[in-house]
Amino acid sequence: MYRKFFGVAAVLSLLLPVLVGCGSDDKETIRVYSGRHYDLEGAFNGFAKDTGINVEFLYGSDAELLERIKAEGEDTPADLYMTVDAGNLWLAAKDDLLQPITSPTLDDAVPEGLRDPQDRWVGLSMRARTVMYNPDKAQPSDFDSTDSYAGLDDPKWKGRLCGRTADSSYMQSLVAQMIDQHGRDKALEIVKGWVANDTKILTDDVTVLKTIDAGGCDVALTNHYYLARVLADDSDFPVKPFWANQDGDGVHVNISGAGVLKNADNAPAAQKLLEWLATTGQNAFCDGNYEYPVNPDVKPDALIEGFGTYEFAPINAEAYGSLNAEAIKVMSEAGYR
Amino acid sequence: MTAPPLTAAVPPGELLLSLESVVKDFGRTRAVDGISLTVGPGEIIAMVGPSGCGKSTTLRMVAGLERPDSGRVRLAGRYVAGPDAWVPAERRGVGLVFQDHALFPHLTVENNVGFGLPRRSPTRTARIREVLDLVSMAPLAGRYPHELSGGEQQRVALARALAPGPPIVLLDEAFSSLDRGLRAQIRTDTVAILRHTGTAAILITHDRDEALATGDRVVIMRGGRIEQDATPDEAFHHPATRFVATFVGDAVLLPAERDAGMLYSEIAEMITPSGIGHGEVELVARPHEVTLDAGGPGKAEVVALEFQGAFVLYTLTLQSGITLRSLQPHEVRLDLGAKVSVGLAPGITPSILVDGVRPR
Amino acid sequence: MTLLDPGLPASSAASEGERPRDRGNRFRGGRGRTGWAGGVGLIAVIASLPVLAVVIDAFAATGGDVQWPPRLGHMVITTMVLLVSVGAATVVIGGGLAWLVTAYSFPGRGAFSWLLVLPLAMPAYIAGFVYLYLLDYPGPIQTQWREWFGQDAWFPDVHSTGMAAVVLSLCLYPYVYLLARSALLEQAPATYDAARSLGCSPTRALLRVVLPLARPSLMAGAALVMMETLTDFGTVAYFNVETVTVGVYRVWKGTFDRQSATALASLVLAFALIVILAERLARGRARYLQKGGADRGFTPVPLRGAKAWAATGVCSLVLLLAFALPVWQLVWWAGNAKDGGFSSLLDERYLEYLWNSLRIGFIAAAGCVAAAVVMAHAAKLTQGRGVEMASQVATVGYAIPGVVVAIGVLIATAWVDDGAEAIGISGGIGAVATGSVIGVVYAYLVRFMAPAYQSVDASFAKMPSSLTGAALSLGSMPRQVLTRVHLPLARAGVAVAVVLVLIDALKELPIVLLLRPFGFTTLSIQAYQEASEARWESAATPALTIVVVATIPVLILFRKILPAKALT
Repeated sequence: MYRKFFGVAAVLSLLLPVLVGCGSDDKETIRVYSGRHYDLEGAFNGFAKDTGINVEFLYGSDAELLERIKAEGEDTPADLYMTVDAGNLWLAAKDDLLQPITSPTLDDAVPEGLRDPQDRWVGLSMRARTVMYNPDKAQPSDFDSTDSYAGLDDPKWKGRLCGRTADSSYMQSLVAQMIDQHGRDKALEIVKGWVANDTKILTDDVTVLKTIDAGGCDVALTNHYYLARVLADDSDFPVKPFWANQDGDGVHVNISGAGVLKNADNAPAAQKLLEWLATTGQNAFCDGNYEYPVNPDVKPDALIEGFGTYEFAPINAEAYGSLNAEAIKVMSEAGYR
Repeated sequence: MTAPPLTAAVPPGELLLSLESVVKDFGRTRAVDGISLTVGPGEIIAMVGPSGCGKSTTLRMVAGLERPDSGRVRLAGRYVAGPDAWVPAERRGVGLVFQDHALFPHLTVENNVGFGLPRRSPTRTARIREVLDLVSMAPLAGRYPHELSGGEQQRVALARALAPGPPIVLLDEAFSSLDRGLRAQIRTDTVAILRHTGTAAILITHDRDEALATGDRVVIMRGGRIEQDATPDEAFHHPATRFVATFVGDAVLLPAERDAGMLYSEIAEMITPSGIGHGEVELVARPHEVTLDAGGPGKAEVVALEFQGAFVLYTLTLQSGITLRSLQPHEVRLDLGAKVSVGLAPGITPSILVDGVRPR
Repeated sequence: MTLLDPGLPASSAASEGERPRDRGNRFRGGRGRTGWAGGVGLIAVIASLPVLAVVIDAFAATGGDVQWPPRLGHMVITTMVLLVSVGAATVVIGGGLAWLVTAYSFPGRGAFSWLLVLPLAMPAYIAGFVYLYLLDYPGPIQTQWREWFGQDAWFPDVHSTGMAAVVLSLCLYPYVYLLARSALLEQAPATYDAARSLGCSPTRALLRVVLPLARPSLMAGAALVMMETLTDFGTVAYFNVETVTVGVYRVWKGTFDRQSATALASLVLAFALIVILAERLARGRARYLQKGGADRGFTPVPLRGAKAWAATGVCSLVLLLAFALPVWQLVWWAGNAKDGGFSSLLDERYLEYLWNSLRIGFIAAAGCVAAAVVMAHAAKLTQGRGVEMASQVATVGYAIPGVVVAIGVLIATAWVDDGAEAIGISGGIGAVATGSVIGVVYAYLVRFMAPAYQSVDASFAKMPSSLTGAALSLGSMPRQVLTRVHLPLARAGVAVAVVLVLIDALKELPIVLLLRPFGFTTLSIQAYQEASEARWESAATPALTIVVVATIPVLILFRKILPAKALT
């Protein structure tokens, strides 16, 4: 018994290292470090079909991948860094890890507010974090249309709110934007107001939406696409979105985007991928996750088109990036877990 | 591959083993304090002493399991330990038998015995058979150690140590895990086998009877030093120190006074042997040398008696308060509290110690 | 600290019940020894380099001026509360079940004795997300609860330290169970009988004799559990519990401030040292060796009627909560998934994920066990303080959260790269760790050396040192002593070590996530990708595969290899 066990283990462990090592064929290849994984594959396959360039990608969290890029230095195998947060792109640019790209195609395809003024990164899809409500319990008129986020401080919402945990990067960039917009004190006051209203803190946006449905609360803030995803499974799902701040600065949005690495081996091909994703590949990139295309010429998925049009607050990547730590502190101080 | 033993051949007339001022410390404790010792070919040495006297450490240095801090060990004409020599255990070719027998539990008796033999040697099987026959264990060759009794395990351990044909075998308390009755038998057998094969041995024990019965020489150790290295007879009758006197056999030390060429003790007087220097003199009185006389007006009192079959051991208190023992044939019958006079058996010259050591 | 005692007698002496007295024997000097001791030193340096890198990165690089995150005090207290409650709960559950299964007979006892080990195959983070789904407001349990007791019925706070402690305890109790069980099996019934004959009731005998004798094992088990709890991120984060380890992740991911994160990680290390120290103190100098009866063991007392069924019920309940329920939920999800359900098992790439998980697990297991054998063998040969200390240093990675080890590997590689460039070798080295599975394997070695070493060393420690001496005196070189004596006798411990590392490696997530090369996806990554997007149905299939794959070696080991002694 033992001998067999050991024999097999020994043979396997001797053979395995030989078998490791990832072969790749001779086709031109670019490599992407991505903090986003959903639907990348379909989009990259489309790109390969159109251009003959292969794309390999590696998924991880934004912070981990950034650390990896730094450690690998000049030897990094990656050409492109893709994140789910504009602030993280700004941080990568600040650490001098990205290179500027000159591309008239991108300039045309992506509105100015959704890309780096110095062209080191570009947004590829957009999501909004807005108010979700149970139409049986609340009406659009109940919300403050100028500052809907601050409006949730109103005591009338006491015991009626749900929210996502403070370590969600979505919450962090929302609060970072509020700090940028209103200053730290006011942002802290707003978050304290949510806490004072006994916001029920849950682990993820899907659970938040389902809690609204189950009657656990009436109103919450989530990303728009989680509602779309739930609706795709259950078209009768009763929760409705309310576009925040339409009479004010516009709803809070963030982007998934990417930049070409300074130490990229194949920068021209990486740029080609960005251009493709911002044009031909917009639907392939955005639709599977029900995100909004950044390219105004591309129509969003029918399901989210039904959410209606909205104004959004311009993205201040520097604020998202540099104030994220402050946002965590503000939530922590306010007792928002 | 098994290393060829160093000690394959000992040149004639050469000492097999010598230790030269060997010292070993464990942290701040000095375990062995400058020991010198020699063993000739085929000689059986019994090393005896109380726990912690350094005898096991000495043995382990001989085996190469421990490295001396200073001093040298010479084996079969070659230094195996010293300031610029070191041969580890596996290259010394010294046989070892442990108290727990240390049989390999995953191997049969046969494979245990064959462990030290070259694996592809054509004579391997024959040699295993030969040594198993020697210890009368051949019928159990296929057994595993846990299927053997303690005595059988001991014999296999001896066979295993002998199989590679070492010139010397070290036995570390090899019999002390056995039952008392079995022990003497196994010991006798072992010595016979060692004699038969002409193998030298160092036998470590804390049992003085075992030491006296087994060794060509007895080495008595205490506190990391050798107190005496002599034949059993010499050690018993002419102990070198007070410690040896009482350790190798039951003995009472009686103070004696010197006066005009005579020595006077409480129970006997004798002519002062020549060559005794100055100092406190003691006589070594062993129970079988002490006579009792119940006839006269005795000054000693019987305080305890212990039947030992053919003999009775009496414990007596002398006038001075010293307690003494006397071994008498069973015909002598004395009651507790009896007053007796005490003397030394005629013809006996007791050992004399001056200031605790044997005079030169 | 002894880990899983293989429970097999390693020597005839032990099986006879006579523990040879160990005189602290050493076998010093000689060419072979230096080599082995040097090998241990090398292992220690290699294994501690990433850990050292993290500490130096945190303190030296910032000149000791560390920015501690807010609510540090709160994190420390939460960590302590969680550690103590999980430690205590697992001692009660694991120790209690071990006693129940050893000392009494009741319906199903034989099966439970090994079934109760199964939760070892369930990664805590998977149990975590399953329980969170089940217990959260919209989940089936609360929904049913509200149906019964009304919309506003009280329900305990799910996102709490208490709930996290419950889930962790359910997942981790097998560590204590295994150690306690083998300790009880080795315990001589004579002591229990003696206590009974001196007028103790069964309960009093348990409390006054059996429990104190099993204390070292219980403490060792609790210490292991606390280490796992300390380095856990997934489970605790799901329940929104702010431990120091969660702090490490939050600080790092939220602020990208690596130095503050690594400083916090050093605090985790400090906690681990406290746990180890506490275990040593709690164990005291007690390392009880008992004579006699190793092969007799307790004669189980038959339970009758209600008591018997209560015992069966307790075992079933624990097994249900810790294993059956999460598995059932995963099966349900996988069966109901629109895509990524059971059908994905047929996907070619899915086989590749499985293969990746397995091969990386086997490489890690082979590496860790080989290193562990070298250390245990060298300890046996030299018994020098140096070798012992080096082994302690080499196993420190177990106390460090996986992600910190991974960062350490990255930092250490960057150092080597800088050094190489300074002496004129440029290119290539910076990406060595991440360009192949070398980085992952390295981090696994650092992280899982401890479980491998502890089970191998436990086997070695059972061999009387006279065996080593006997083999040497018969002319065997140190290497031959290893292959001819030590290894054959330590095979049970080696098998346990292989299984433990394999299971740990299968479950491991943060290391492989951060250090894997392009195109390298494992089951745990697949599960994580889906779960992080709240796609439970798609996460269920890879999660379930991990559980099934991890269950196989657990069963082989604890049912087939060690049944006679350890688990009947």
